[in-house]
Amino acid sequence: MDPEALSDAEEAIRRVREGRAEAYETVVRAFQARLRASVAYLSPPGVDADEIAHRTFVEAFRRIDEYRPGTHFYAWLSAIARALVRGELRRIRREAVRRERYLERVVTEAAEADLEGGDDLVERRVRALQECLGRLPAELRELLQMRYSRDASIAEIARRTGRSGTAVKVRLFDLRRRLRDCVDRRLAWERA
Amino acid sequence: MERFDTLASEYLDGSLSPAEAQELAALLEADPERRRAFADLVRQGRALARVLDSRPPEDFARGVMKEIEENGGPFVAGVMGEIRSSARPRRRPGWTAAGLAAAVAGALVIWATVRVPGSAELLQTGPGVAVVRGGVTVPARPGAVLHNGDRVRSAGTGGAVIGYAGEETRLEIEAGTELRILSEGGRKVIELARGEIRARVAPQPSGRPMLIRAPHARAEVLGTRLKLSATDEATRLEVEEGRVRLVREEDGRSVIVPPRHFTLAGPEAGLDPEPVPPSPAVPPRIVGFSLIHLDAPRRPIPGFEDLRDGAVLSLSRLPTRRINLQVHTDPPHVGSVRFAYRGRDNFNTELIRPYTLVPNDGRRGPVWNPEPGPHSVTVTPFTGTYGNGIRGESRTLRFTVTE
Repeated sequence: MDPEALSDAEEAIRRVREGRAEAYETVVRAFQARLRASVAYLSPPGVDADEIAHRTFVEAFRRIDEYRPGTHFYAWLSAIARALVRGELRRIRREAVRRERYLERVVTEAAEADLEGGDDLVERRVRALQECLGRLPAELRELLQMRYSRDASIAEIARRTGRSGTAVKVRLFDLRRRLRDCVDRRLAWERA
Repeated sequence: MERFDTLASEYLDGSLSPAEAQELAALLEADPERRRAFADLVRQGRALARVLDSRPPEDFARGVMKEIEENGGPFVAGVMGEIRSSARPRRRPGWTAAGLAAAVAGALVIWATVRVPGSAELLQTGPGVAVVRGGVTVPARPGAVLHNGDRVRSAGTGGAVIGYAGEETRLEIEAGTELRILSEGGRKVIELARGEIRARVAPQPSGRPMLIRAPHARAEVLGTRLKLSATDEATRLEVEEGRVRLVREEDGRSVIVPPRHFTLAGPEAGLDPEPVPPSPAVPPRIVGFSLIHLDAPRRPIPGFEDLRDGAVLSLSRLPTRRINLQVHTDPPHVGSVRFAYRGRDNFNTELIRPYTLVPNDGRRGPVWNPEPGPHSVTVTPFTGTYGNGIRGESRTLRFTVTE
């Protein structure tokens, strides 16, 4: 987040604390992208990440008098989100004890481990993912855009790109793995 | 592509068959590294959907603002009213009857107009009342909104009154009480760690009775007047109006307590409701002292059933060092018995029989290790709990402890 936007957000928080509720929209706009991505990363299938992000902002509004101006607003917001995610993970874990839900359990356990692993681990992963995305050729980025942002099916992507469905699947999987390797490398480099 | 890659790819594209899901689960179970890779890929995909989201951010922001606005003028007005009121200094009302009445009236006006429906608020506070939020003590002032998880401690001589916005529910907290305010799925929950509360509970939504949890039992309240006391030894529920279901934590057994009845839940207490005895016309009395075994069955130690002033307790000649001092009252059941000992006027206040110097139910609580030398215990009975009601005459027992 650039310093100017951060300053605008702090100013908006100050106005909300003075009683001008409408200024809260500026706060939501300033932090929503970052929060939604982090919550999505932590949320296994079956959990609506945007719903949690939405509830986080509403809860933060309700508790805005607890926030100390000038401290790290996003960290505070993120703490509320993590508490909400933790509740959802417990629910998923209870429901995923059966064998046929094993795949969900694997993802849930990984998210729980991340929550235990520190406040900024997920933040760093999402930031690294954004950086890795930025380094992809436009054509590959467009492929991911179609699949994830526009929610196009494999058949639809195949039709648009003139490739076979199998070729699209292989290419997408390769891309996903490259991104994951890229994220791991960046995190290892940060640690070093 | 390896088989794992193929199956993971199918999963990520939403085209994995049930049989393939079983196959993938078996592969993951056998290999922790694959589990990590699989979890990373799934979560990366979910984050990608947000990072690459081309929808204008305003959609999400407007959704949040819409809920804030639609949740009521009361929601926004309540939060904003709280913020505005916390920004300006408040005049603290005195703890006099007239001042208190004015403060309550004033608090109720503010409360009724700007608070979020169902939110808890301190209406009155006496000396020594504190609110602990996230480990930090915050000012306990009349009008302060209580948040989910807040602890209210009344350590001094004054009590407090808590109200809930939009309804007539009131909790009166006696001195020496500690409780926690919670909200669970829209249901009001009070965790009473110790002390006593008197509650007037307005009718609650169907299926969401107010819950008062104490160490030994929990009360489910749909709408009534009641009194709940909690000590390490037992939980006592007295119902004035309506009916309250009390569930004993130890075994899950429950009873419905009808109006003008009370019940006790604890290791030494039965759960069956009994009529609340009418207030005696004469003050209760202390009629005797016994030395008893600390551990169950807590019987008097032979030779020490009736301790008199000037008694000598030779510790080496007792059958056990785990001892306690019991007092006997007339009538046998009283509201409370207060012990003054070791320079403290309120060393311990007992609510249920046996009334003992040390609040130990034989399984937990402090142990009395009287040091050699002279001792003096002054005991006062009351018709009401926690030293309330009619006060009986105090009686002092002086005795000497030797090794």
